[in-house]
Amino acid sequence: MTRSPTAIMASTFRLTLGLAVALLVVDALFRLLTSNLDAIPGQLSALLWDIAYVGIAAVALSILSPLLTAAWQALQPTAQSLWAAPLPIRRGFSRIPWPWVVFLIGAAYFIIPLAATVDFSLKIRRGTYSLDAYTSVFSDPRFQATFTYSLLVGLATIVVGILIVVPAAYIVRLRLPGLRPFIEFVTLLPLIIPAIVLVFGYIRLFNTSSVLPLTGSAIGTNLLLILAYVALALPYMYRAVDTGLRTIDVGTLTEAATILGANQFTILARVIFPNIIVAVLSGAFLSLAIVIGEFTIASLLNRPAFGPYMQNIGANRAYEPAALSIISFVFTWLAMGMIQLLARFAPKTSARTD
Amino acid sequence: MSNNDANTASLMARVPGPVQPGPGRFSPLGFIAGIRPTELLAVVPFILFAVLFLIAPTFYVVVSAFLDRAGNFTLANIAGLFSEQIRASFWISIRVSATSAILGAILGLLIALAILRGRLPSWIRSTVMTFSGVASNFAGIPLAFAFLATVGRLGLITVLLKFLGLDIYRGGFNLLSFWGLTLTYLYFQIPLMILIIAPAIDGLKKEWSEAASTLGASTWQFWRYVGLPVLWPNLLGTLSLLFANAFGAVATAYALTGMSINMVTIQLYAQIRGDALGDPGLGAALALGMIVITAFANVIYLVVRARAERWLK
Repeated sequence: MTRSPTAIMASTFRLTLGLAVALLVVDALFRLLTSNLDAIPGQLSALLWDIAYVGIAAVALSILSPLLTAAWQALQPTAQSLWAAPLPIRRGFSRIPWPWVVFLIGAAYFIIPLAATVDFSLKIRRGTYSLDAYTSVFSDPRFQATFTYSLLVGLATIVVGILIVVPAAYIVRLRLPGLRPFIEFVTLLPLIIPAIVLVFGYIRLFNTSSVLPLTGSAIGTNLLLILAYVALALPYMYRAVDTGLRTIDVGTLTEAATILGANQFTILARVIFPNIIVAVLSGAFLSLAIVIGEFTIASLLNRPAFGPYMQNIGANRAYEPAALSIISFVFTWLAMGMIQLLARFAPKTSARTD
Repeated sequence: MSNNDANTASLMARVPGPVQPGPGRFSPLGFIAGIRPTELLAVVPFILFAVLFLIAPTFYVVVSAFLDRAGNFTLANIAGLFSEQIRASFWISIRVSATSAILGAILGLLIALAILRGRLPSWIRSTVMTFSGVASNFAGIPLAFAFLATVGRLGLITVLLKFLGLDIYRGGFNLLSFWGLTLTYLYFQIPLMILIIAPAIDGLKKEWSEAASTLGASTWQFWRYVGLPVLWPNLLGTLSLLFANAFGAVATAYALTGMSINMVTIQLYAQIRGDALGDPGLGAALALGMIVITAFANVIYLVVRARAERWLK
């Protein structure tokens, strides 16, 4: 029961050291991330002082620990009698429904900005709530033009994306599993390379004096925008299609269709595609949600899209931006709602766990 | 997984299909022997697209970072990255991305744990997951508008707190600052974390916590020795994804701050628009710097994942 003072010292030292290191890591991260570049040397010296303080505290606590332990044991009988009172508090603390607390704080963080935006968007008239900001947005011909444009570009993105992804994902699953690492690497690239870097490359690579002068004409630039969006949506599209292919038995379906005399194109278009249409559509709606309000690429390619329009309104108006924000949110919600709805129609049979 | 596919493939090769093409077994590429040209045709658009619109532009940017206007090799562009303004812009981008990624990962993990393992009603779980899908895509311009309407100078919360006697702007808060940007970025970082980590948390088998408690482990010990070590590679992987996600973001910061915060993406944006700098080589060097930083974050992830997979086997 009674341990030697050195053993107490050692174990206290280990414990405090672990705590101290954790504390210092958080301290260092915090100091680093909240300071400007020129302030870093100052922060580093402050950090060295922190290390010294914490180290001294750990050593002092360890040296004193046998004494503290002895004092604690001497006080045990008294503490025991005092324990009766604090104990219910402890139990009360752990009885706080932490999941609810976390959920409610999170919910507040996510709902308050939306509520504030709705409130702001309704306040265009002094003193009363009105829908004037929304009327003003919807009746703006530029809103109609840019939104239609972005919607069309989004649809084209989906079509091109399907044409590129579905055959490749199908063949890779069926006949070319060796290509899978390469394909997966490619589909992850848009998550690693920032979109602005890609568009920078496009503008240089496809400029008017290049072999493929896409930026030279309006049609070419539209095409470039669509292809850029296909790249942006590639990770999501590929993931969705691949998940869809996993839930059906691609091999058996292909064999059956082949025996019945179908050629490769017929198999893909009339056997495989209808079977994964739900997965493809969920990828499509996700792509649409990403593409519809996209700003960077559209703006750098000078396209009359919805994203640059919103930015322009944001720089020039007070209340309409809030209305546009809510409209975008509702649109995103609709797209996601469609995915949820589609998930109910997804084939649940013959799910393969590979 | 690939074993199964290989079986299917070898099975398929033996099917005496009526579509066997005349020349048969045409295969210029050794590693896909026995593939029909029509099948090869299916991957050609994908590979062409990947080369033209993902690999070539990246390669082009990387190469032109080392070329001067005349096309000769130079390190002047890279040296230009170390000017005070550009160093500061990289630093503020890294700060905002790292802070929003770390906080987003921690808070997202807590929320995911609360809804998945906290015995909350099941409708909360499905609502949170759907909302996360929406909010993780609610980035860019509309998000900036929402936060301007909330904690901007005339935002609802700002006005409300001022009414209650607390002037957050006089207290040092500014939406157009490091903390303001981080607060805004968390709006898409947290939901992304929830979406990615939820399947991993679901993967923690119930038997494990039962076994742990049978052996006398407390909840804390279960998480310390079982739960967190299993989730760890996922957590780090998501962290690097969140970092890259924030690091490449342009629209939110641009709509929120205009040019008043000197983020590296905004620098590059201005450079491409021709508003500032006016030096294409320096633009390429900026882009290269961004690629190096996001690639670095992802290499860490790949290394960690490889180690984790070895362990999970």
